[in-house]
Amino acid sequence: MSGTEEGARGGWRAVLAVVWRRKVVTASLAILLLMAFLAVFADWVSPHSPTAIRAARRLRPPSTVNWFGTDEYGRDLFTRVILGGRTSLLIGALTVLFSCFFGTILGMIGGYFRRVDMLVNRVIDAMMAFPDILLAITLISVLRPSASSVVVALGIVYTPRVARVARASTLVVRELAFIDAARVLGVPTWRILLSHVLPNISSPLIVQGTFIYAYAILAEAGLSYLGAGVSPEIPTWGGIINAGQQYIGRAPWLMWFPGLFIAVSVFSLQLAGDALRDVMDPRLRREAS
Amino acid sequence: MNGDSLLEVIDLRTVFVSGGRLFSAVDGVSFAIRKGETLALVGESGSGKSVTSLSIMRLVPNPPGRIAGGGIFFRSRSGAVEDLARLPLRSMRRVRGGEIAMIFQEPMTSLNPLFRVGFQISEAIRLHRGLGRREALREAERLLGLVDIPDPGERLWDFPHQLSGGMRQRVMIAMALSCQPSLVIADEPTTALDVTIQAQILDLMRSLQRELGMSILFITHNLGVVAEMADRVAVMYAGRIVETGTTRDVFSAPRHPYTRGLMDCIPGLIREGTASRRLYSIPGGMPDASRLPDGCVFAPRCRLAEPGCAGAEPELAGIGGDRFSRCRRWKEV
Repeated sequence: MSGTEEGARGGWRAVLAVVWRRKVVTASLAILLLMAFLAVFADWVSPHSPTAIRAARRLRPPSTVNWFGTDEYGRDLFTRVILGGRTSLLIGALTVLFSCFFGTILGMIGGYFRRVDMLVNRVIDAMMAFPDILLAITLISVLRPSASSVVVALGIVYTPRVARVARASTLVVRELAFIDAARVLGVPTWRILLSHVLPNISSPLIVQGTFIYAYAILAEAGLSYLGAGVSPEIPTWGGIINAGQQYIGRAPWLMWFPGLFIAVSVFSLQLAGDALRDVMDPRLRREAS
Repeated sequence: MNGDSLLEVIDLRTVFVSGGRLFSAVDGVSFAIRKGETLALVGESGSGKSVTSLSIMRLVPNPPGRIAGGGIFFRSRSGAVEDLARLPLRSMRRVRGGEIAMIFQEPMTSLNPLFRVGFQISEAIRLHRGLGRREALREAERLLGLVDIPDPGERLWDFPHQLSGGMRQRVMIAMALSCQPSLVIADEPTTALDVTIQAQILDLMRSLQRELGMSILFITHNLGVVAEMADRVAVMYAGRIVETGTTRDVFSAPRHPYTRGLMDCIPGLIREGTASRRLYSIPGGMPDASRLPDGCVFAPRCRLAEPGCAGAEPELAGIGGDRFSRCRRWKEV
């Protein structure tokens, strides 16, 4: 499989080279890093408390004191938005880990063991037949709403997307001669899957994981907006938009800023995912460089 | 099982399901390999030679294929005779690599592109011989030296794409030999290599066999390679063996029209006295395994076919010495 071969040869240097050459990608990665930094060090970056209520300063427009303005309780919006980033980015990341873990297992089993492939494939199809948000809401209401159920629910929703990619790549890799060579040497099946198949299907999985990160942030915001996500005391981008929509006439910034953060983070992730795909797929690499 | 036999395949039948129908890719194949001997399994694409080797390794893809009958008796290192066709997969893993090793046709894809050569060789060593990481690497280096790779200590750290096709095939041979197998199955090991490298690899295999005393089952369609490598030959056609004998006998006087046809296809092997100047080619193609002709399966393409050939299929009958032919008119070939 020349794709993985190229990927291995170029390694991270090739990835970095493409990132550097494409300024859009450099910019989007910088933005993502900045968001992550703000989310992690929110308490340290912002002079305000996210929960301090000041009735006298409610619904103030953006100013030098309150950069993004204040909400209906006089809380500082900037602090709440970057804290919301902490929740959204973390839930997104955990969702990626969850769905990549189970999706990879499911997909490799389906792709490698032909006998269960039919079953795995039907399960994947059935899960993909549900609309994402609807399935997530159903799962969350079954699990009781909390941050961890959001992760589990979104993880389940996106598992089939990973599984499909893992299955398709496994189908290709299992036919390669080095898999037979390993079997002929008496390497146990679990080890073939782990040390020969998995590394060879990892590039498409990483790309898919990046896209799922973007979807998960969007879906988490949607769930919080609908009130089906994490509890409303915890600031999230979707939750802030939900609370702010009553004041859309008087204080539209309550929706602008969290909306902007959602859009920019999702867009940056998509760009990064595209770039990764270009680097890891040699057929597209020429365009990339 | 015969005292000096290492492997005896008896009446092996491997079937595949295709389009809802069952057909035999290997149908009643029997042969034996003695210790230290090289047997060549010769035939066109689709003759069942590769399926035979996959059956011995129990690597027939299932579904759609499976071993439907017969026995594959193998004398393991402990001296016990096991039927590989019925061995549980767990024990089969000990046999694979440990007692029977295999070399494939495509040296380009037989190595995992993501791992260094040394790691891949030592994987097998650690698996079967329980050595530690460091000892296994040292052993891998020794093996690379054994297969005449220069600077073995350096090459351990190469990735497969850094090696040429011939070098990769040497690495594959080193991997195959890593656990001192008593039988090496080589499935067209030189087909993908260019001619000078082919000769080097064949030389290497011969000298390693002399040194280590293993038996080789050599699968090929190349009669030139057979003449160079094999002690005995089994010619396969449509899932059956149609002729066997020592290489010298079979080459000097083929006793089946198919073998004869194969030899006439090769420019260098036309003996004096054969009048034809044009290179012979066997008319037609291998029959579809699901629609085999009645009687002798080769009859429709045979120069010697007569109406009687379409009756019962001839047996693989002894024709004196160690020779067998599946032709009613073998005397006339």
